[in-house]
Amino acid sequence: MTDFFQFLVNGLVSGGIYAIVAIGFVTIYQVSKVINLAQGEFLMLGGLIAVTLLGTGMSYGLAFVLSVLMVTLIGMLLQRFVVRYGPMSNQISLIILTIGLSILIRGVASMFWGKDAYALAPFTSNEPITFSGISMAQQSLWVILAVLLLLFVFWFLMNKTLLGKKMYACSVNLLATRLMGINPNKMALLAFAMSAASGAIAGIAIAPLNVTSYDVGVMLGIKGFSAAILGGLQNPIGVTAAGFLIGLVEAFGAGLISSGLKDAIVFLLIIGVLMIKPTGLFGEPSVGKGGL
Amino acid sequence: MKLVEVQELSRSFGGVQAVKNVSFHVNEGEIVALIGPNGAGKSTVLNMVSGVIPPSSGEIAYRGQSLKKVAGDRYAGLGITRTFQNLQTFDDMTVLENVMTGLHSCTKSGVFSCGLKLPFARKEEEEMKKQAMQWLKLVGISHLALLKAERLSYGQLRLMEIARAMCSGPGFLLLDEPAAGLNHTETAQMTNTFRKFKEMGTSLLLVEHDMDMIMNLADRIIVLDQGAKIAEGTPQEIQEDARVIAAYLGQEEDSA
Amino acid sequence: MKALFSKKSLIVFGVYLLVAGLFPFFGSDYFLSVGIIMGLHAIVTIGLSLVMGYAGQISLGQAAFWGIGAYTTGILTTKWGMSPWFALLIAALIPAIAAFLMARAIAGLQGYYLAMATLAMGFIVQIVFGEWESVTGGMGGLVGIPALPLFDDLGVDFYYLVWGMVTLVLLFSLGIIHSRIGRAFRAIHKSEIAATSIGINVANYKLLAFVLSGLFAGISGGLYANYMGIIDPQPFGLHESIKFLTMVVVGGAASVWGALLGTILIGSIGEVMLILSEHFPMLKGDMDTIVYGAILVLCIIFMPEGLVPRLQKIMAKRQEEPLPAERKLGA
Ligand SMILES: Nc1ncnc2c1ncn2[C@@H]1O[C@H](COP(=O)(O)OP(=O)(O)OP(=O)(O)O)[C@@H](O)[C@H]1O
Ligand SMILES: [Mg+2]
Repeated sequence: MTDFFQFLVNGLVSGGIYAIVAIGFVTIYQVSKVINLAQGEFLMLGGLIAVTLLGTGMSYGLAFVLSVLMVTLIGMLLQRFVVRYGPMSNQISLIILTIGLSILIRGVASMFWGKDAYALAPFTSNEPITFSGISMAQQSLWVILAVLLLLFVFWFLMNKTLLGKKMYACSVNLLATRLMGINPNKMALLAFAMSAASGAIAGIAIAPLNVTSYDVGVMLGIKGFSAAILGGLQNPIGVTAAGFLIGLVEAFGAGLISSGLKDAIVFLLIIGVLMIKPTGLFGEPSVGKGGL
Repeated sequence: MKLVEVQELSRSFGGVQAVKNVSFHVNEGEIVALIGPNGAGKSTVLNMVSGVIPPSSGEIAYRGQSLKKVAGDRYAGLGITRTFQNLQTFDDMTVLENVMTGLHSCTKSGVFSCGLKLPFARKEEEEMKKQAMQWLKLVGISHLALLKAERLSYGQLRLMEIARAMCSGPGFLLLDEPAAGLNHTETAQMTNTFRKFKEMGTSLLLVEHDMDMIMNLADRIIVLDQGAKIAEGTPQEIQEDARVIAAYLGQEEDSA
Repeated sequence: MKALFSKKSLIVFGVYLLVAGLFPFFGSDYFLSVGIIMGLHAIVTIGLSLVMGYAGQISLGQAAFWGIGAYTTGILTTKWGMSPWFALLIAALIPAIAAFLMARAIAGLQGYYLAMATLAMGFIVQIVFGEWESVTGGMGGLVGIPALPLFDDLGVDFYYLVWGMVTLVLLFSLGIIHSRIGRAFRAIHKSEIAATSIGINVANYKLLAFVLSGLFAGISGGLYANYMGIIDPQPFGLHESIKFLTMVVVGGAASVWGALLGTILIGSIGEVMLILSEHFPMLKGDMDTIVYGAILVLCIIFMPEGLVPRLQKIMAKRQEEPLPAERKLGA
């Protein structure tokens, strides 16, 4: 029984992170039809910049805020000076473009921070919380809290603000949106800012649970991408659910089957789902006149 | 002799009933025109008859055989080909290559004979070139054969698409607004070309807004409005049909 | 009877034969090994260009097929004692079958979904290499894979074997491209609806492109295992898949010559980076990653079609005449 709860907690923690990354993917995708495979690097940058800033003796809160701001800026620069000029009509080229960006960022990070692993101090004490035989790191609670907070902020922004309506409009009909006087480039910039910021927060939140290094973004990004695809790329609630599903499958797979096979189990699940539903669990097949 | 028989064809997209219970037939060697205001469902009918989208309900038969279980890529082999309202050309290929793709269903060299350039495949390739060239001549753009398709004008691309659809020698050709965007001379030339197709024994189902072309060419006209068939008859009869006039006038009011 | 090849392609092919054939006479043993690895990579990327540039699909897991080829040879020769030549034959077939099964499973996927599925497949295969210890030797991999009889000095002979294979694969692919099969690939790339309407079975041709790419990757993988003598899971993952992708994209996916040139170019850049990092230690680390990343980004933005198609376009521009007048050229 305690094992079960341990797996559950692990699954919720990593699933929450995947959900945040996936929402970052979807936010950008909705606005600009770009899948930003450099998304995982935002998490890596968040964690590592926070480590460096803390190293200068800065207070935790300030370091946190500054790293999130810096990553947000980086995200906006990427959109403004690179992705905006990508071939928007060609998904394959866009994939390759953002893969290029992600390895570029990772390479630059390896020059700054080397290939060593860094430990980031947890938000609060290192003491695990224990009740009736189940123990969990305090940081895990913080991660779950951060995830819930981010999910709420995304939900609020997208559903309760004019900005969210404008961004949604871009995803429905780009031309009409432009005619309504909304600048899709600006929306895309905002989407990148939001994804980068949420990615940085998620990256800082999970860094203390494990060590962090220049290449942690790869797997986090891929799992987030998996969640976005599994959830169907459209619906933030769908991809959130998919994120948690992947986290849980991974945790229970690692615990009950084999930790070496946990990723394989997740990927098998994804291929299996796509075989049955080619647009993910919650994605609608695209309706359009298909150029006829 | 009925070549194509369509019965009670319907199709909806979500809440939109694009086509409602449409029945008609096309005889062998006949040119049938399908007209109607924008959004009447003409393209949708064409897409269903050519196997691009499945009907929600209804029956389509070709030479007495139901097409219900026939996969989209087998239509060309049966002798049903089409052109598209929004051009679907392969613009990174030459004009000749574009037309040669149209011969796919009547050629059969496989991967190994092509990869190893076996004599059989080479002969077939030469044969395809010759045949495609003939069709380009027939539609009048053989002088452009070796250019990349992306360099052609809109009208020339339409002709190329028609040659691509015709070169397999289909029994039934579906044309979705072939004259859209053409000028008077080009339209007149195209009208002549279609007459030649008819003489060769190909039946045509023609969706078109150009009334000159329709009145000159069609043996029979079917009129759709808001997804339903509202009239059918010879060009003469249709011109005098009150419902048809109302449908078109009504549309003019809308768009004004 | 018509000539088998046009004059221009004969010249290109002649230059290729000359360069590939004379290369071993100008370098050290080290360069020879670089040439061998480049040839092995080229076999994979030519197959990948059929999938990406022609059929318009994406594969983010091509290294998996390469790995399946290598492991097939490795397992059959070290564990089953099979003769290396026979093992090589099977090493070509198994990845082709794997590609067939994968493509069957994911035939209906488009764009980003296809990217995800191929990515997932690549990970699964690499994980299996690492985890199925009793067969694959796990993380330690397989050692003592025998060289191919007749080519067991692993020097100049093996170089010519590899580049002979590159040449075969190249010619075979060129044959396909300029045939109804290649046109069918390009047709489904541009418009699946139009392709279907002229009788092309879209799913089957996608399948065929993947199978050919699997076959080529398998041949290369088998030879790689023969050449290295030891294999482990490390080179058969995402990193390598992306490297293949980079090679194809830089050279120009819609051209097998592009894939070949891209492979040589990226391979050479890698070597240059290696030499530089020996002389300037501060460049150590992931300098090559930065360069690959930058190349991909710059390439997609400024030259999305890749090097060879860009060159072809420039040359065509130079000779471009106004549209021929009607009936002047009429065959
Ligand atoms: N794939 C689709 N998804 C949703 N609605 C569709 C689709 N295809 C057609 N429709 C709708 O069905 C109706 C009929 O469309 P259709 O294209 O058949 O008209 P049409 O008669 O060809 O018009 P036009 O003269 O403009 O070409 C329209 O209301 C259209 O919006
Ligand atoms: Mg229409």
